[in-house]
Amino acid sequence: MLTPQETDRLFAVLKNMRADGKSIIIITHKLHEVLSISDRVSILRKGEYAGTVDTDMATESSLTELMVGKKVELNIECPEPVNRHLRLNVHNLSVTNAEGVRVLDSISFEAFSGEILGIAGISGNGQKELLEAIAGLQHVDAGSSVVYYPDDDRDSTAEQLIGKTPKDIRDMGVHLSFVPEDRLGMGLVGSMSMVDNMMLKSYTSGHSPFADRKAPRHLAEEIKDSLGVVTPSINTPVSRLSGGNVQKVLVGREIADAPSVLMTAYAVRGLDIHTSYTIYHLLNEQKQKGVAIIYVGEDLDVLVDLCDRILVLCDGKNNGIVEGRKTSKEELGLLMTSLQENHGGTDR
Amino acid sequence: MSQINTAVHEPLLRVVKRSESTMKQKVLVRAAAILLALIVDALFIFFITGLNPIAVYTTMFQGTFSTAMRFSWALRDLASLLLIGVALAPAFKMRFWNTGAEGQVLVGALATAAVMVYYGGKVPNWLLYSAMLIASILAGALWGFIPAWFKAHFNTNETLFTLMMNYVAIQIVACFVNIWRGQASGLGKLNMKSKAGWFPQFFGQRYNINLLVVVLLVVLMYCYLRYSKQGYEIAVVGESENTARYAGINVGKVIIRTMIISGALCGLTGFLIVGGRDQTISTGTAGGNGFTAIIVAWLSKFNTFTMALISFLLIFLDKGAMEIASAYALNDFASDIIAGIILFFILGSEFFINYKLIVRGIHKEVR
Amino acid sequence: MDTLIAWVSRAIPFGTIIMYGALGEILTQKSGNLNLGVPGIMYLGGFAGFASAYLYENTAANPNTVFCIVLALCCAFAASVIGGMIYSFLTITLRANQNVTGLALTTFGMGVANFFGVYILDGRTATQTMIYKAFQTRVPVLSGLGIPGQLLFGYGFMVYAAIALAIVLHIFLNRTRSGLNLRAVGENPATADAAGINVTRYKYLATCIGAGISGLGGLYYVLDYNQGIWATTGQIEALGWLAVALVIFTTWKPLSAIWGSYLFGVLYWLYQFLPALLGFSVPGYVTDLIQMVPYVVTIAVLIITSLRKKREDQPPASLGLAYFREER
Repeated sequence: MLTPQETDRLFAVLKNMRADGKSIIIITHKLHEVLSISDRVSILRKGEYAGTVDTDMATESSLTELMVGKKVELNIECPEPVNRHLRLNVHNLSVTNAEGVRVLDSISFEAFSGEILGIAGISGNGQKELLEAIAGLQHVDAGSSVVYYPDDDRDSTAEQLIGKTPKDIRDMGVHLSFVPEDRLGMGLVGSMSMVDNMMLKSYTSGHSPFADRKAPRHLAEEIKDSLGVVTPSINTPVSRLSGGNVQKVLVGREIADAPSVLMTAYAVRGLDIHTSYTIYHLLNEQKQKGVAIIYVGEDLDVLVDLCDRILVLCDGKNNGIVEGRKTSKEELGLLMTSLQENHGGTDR
Repeated sequence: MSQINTAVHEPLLRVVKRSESTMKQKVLVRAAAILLALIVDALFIFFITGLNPIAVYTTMFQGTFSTAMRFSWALRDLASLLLIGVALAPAFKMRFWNTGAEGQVLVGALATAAVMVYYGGKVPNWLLYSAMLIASILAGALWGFIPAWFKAHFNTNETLFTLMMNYVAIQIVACFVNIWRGQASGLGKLNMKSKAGWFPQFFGQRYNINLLVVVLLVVLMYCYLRYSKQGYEIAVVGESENTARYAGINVGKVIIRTMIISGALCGLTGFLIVGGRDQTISTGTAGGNGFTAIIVAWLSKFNTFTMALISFLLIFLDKGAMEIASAYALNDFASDIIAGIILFFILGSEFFINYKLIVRGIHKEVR
Repeated sequence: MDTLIAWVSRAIPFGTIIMYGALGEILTQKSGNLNLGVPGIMYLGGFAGFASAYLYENTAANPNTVFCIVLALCCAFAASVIGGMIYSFLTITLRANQNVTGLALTTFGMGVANFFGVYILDGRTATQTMIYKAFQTRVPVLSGLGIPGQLLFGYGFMVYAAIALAIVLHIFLNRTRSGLNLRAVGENPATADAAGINVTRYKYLATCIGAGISGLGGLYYVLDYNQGIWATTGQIEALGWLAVALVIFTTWKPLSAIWGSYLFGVLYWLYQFLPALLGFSVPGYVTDLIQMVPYVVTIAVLIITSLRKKREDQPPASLGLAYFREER
């Protein structure tokens, strides 16, 4: 993915090529890019040709309408946080990978309840490791600390999450939900049905040696109805569903757990615009319920619109935390590509 | 826009993944595969031997079904093969390639035989049987545990590890057989006089106890894999270790636990073979069933009832081939060829269950 | 000293059998196909080589030795390639599971070889073709040069052909464009496909030629190592599995197969020569235990390579997986 600055440079190159008389086909899901670079736009919808329009005549909402087939509200809300208090205190978090490369370098930040904390950065700059380290899925370097505060920010009830496995964390009563980047390779089991996937984190409940499938079946039905998952049946393997529906199943399950912390990695990657907005809406709903949300994203427009604060990762380091309402994507782009002298989590 | 007639190059055959196939389709495809295989086998028989394939197939059928005794022998051999298949089911469901069933059966058999040799006639019968049972299970479990431990801790390749463990087991068995036979040319039946450790007659045959155990285990294993929490863990680990870790499953623990179960059941098979069928041991006690059972387990997609069907088909072929061998002066290696061809066809038929072919020019096929 | 010489001159022919098996399997596995049908393929190669030489010897009026050797080699190679084609068609075109297909091929290959073998045996327990003498012909002149001559040149031509083959394979895999393409297919077929490499063709060719090479191991076993004797024993099967183990042992490097296979040969004959070398005799049951050493060593190597986790020692990344373009 490119930063705004890099996009501008690429577009300059493409425009030169156009001036040279080349024909250029550009495929993108970013509507403002389509509008700024193209002369004509062809739209595909579910594998079918939906029409071609001249760019001069098109607007973001007219294109979306063609893409989705109906009118879609393209506003992302960002309500002021209510009842905001400390939920996670990440301090000095470092991860060294198998090749000996420090992929996360002394990351420190705080996440608050009722707030969406965005994580921006060119992908592969430590986002994956950061979330996995918090979830207990990464080996971290000595000195790392992730402290969880249950209800208020008193130190007496705080719990250290580093050194715990995902099961330990769950057994402590911490509802940590995680929508990983690799949906079918980590978040779900592709060959299993919705029902069996609902059990993934809850199957151990109860003392019977046999697994309960009644509650998961109920939950699957509920998610199918409430999120409008398109599937022949809740017994169909989830790998047979489309990307958007797979993500609805995953997000639906993670939200159903009544989380106190919700982490999402590239939650809308590859999804159609309609499902993307459904997901943004769900996240805002959780935010208003007092969940601390960590949102790793790549679309800077969305990050700016959706998040209260945005932490920028660059080369595994915390390159600054900015206010979502005050920043611009140009500022984010700059932070993503050039390491600041004084990195270390200063709020701007 | 002007309409230019551009010749689109479309391949003659295009492969597309099926979204879902119905039970009826699955059964039909497999039946067609077996039928085709039998035709190919018939051609093979005809061209090689000049015999009438139909007559040969009739003879084959007699190998299992001509007399009650034959049928009972077929069931006896079915029990050994199916038991190993059932033992392999949890390991294979976990995508742990346990190619070491042969060795696990052998060490189980060896432990049983050792108890018979050293304690036969010296302790009460109930104690002897219990000791044989426990020893065989422990030995098999150990043989399963070793590669699993290394897989869990260092991700050591289990396919080859377990394969090599077979030969280690074979040499150990050879060593003990050598000791026990002393100056004799062969080992012969153990405890020939006292019959200590031999299974009691049950409905006229010792091996009927094996049949009883196998029926029980088929049902139990089905329930274990399908309904238990551990079975669920096995399925998740088998599909994706990352997902398992994400779900808080201790992957290493599940691998080791499952292989102990798999090895223990193989060991138990060794006990049943020695106590209920052979009353002796040799390096050929497992008789290649450890390998055949892998194919059985895989083809049945770990469903133990399907395993029973496939095992029966293979045993039927084996018995049939022996029958042809004696009736037409062929040799019973024919069974390996016939079984091989049928297996190739069944393996290949999976493709037509998961994918479909679209022929050029036929568009908008109903999915 | 004599024992030591005898030991080495038994170990090298033994190693040569599994070196062929392993070299073929390295080529196969480099394309991402794990072919567990090696024992079956070696059976096919061994039998086809034997049968063609035997029938030619017994039908031709004036058997020509060179022609007989070429005939046996061609038949062994062709029969093994057919085995490889069955495997390739099932696993590459029909995407069947590789391990299971390989095991079925092992059953099938053993069945075919022994089934037809019985016709040639015709009631006898073993039968022999005289061509083994040509296969065992030592390097002239050089093999007569004392002990070094005996140790280095006292073998049939296929021993040296195996070494040459290992070197050629090494150069092919590491120094040629096709070799690079093949390794790309084995590591990441989707990327290779995107780069315009014909994945299916590379997989087919590598698997079939690999099978052909493995089959020569069977031929060498029957026509040289076993002195042209065909008998219905399970010997080749165990050799086939050792060849598969040797592939891991060499960490997919053809050059390592040379010394690795000889080491296996030394270990295999340990039970006979070590006690003699140390000057005592052991009872039969201890011999049985010593015979497990090659397998235990293989296990040890498996463990050590998994412990070291060195990148260049890892198997091809897509080993064992079928490739379907539309599933990228």
